[in-house]
Amino acid sequence: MPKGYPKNKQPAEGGAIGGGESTAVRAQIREMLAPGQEEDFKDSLPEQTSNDESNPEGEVRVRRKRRTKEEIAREKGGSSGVEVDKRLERAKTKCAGLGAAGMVEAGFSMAGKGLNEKESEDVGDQFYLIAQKTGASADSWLFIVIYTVCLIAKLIMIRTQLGEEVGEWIKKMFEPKEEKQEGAQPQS
Amino acid sequence: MIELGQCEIVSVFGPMASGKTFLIGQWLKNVNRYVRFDATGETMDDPTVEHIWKSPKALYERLTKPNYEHYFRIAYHPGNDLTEDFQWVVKCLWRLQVDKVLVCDEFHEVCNVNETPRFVQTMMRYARHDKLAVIGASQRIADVHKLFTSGSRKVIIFFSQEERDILAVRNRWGSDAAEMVENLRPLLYDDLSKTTRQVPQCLVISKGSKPQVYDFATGGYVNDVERRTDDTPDESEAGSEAGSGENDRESEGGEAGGIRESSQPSIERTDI
Repeated sequence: MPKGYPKNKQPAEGGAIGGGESTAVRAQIREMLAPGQEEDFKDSLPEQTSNDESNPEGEVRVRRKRRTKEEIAREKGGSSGVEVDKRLERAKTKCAGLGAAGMVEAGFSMAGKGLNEKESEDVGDQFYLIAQKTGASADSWLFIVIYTVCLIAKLIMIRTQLGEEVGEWIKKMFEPKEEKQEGAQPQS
Repeated sequence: MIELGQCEIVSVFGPMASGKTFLIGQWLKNVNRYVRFDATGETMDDPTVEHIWKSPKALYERLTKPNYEHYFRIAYHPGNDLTEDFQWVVKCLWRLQVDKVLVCDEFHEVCNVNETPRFVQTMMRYARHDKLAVIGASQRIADVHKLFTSGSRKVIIFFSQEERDILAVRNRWGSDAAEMVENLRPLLYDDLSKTTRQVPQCLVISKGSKPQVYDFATGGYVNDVERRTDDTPDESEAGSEAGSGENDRESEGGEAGGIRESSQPSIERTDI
């Protein structure tokens, strides 16, 4: 028998030690299921449970549309366990303006009149607006094809001989022409 | 009468109209502090208990009412969400410093084999330390969580022939217990005339003891009689030699304690 065990107490039917004067339930046990001060506990008790009026019989509950993993991840800011393809997101962003903005910028730089940062942003935003209005997005095959054509055209204009020739032609087109003087004699 | 120990978890199993409610009623006659979680309206017409309808606040106010906190016999009638109401009832009882009894007739509703809330698990693990006795009744053993049956100090099982129930008994308490359940005498009750045509037996499995058959007709354990018979083999043999058909049947029952339907006289009773 362990030291200090009360010899005059015998285990009662059911396992509890009978005959003891202390009847209090230990605070640790009470805290397991009904914690808090008496007043707080009383305040937490509801007057009524299962209010039938909150969900009358026969009422069909509106179910939320099932979301994809990507949507859930986006709502959670990518912090969930679902992987977010950042490269795909970046490509979709670039495709948003159909690549037309890139072509315009390339055209101006070929003409030797490159756009500054503010102008580039304005052009990009404008084509983004057009793309949104027309419903153009990376979800559609048609717009992906258009974007691809624009992207290749831009690279051709910048990086190839053909592009240089076109650039020269554009430069000449924008060069100020010499005005012919009236009454000028043709040189012999 | 089957003894109900203090601060024990007791489980009662049996198909409908098997005698569960009668047994619980007999126990509660001697209990001065209990809350009966009545999801089926079993006690609706009982004037001897106080009725509280889906109001945890009203329940707690009654439980802690000055001068009455040591005597309460309450039937709590829950709303649609049984788990929510059961949780509040458990919380209210859990705060009381005195020993008390919680009775739940359809225990599988709150302690299902597939889904048992955390608070129910905690309650079953620590009820004894909170001076809380729990009596849970269910129609099928296989429907309740194993924590309930394994944590029970006493398990009462009424007659059943359902294969799933017999298998559940065998898995938990062995094939001997399963055989005994199959051989119990069932309750035969006439709902129209409100008379009992046959008083049932039940199997009592107390922790640390061998299963015993309790006979409500005699108010004693059948196994006790058989054990005494085993101790005096001469008398037993003499009984067999007498060629009594009933004795033969009893001895065939053996450990199963199976006194079958025809071995007991019909007893007119209206209280089951």
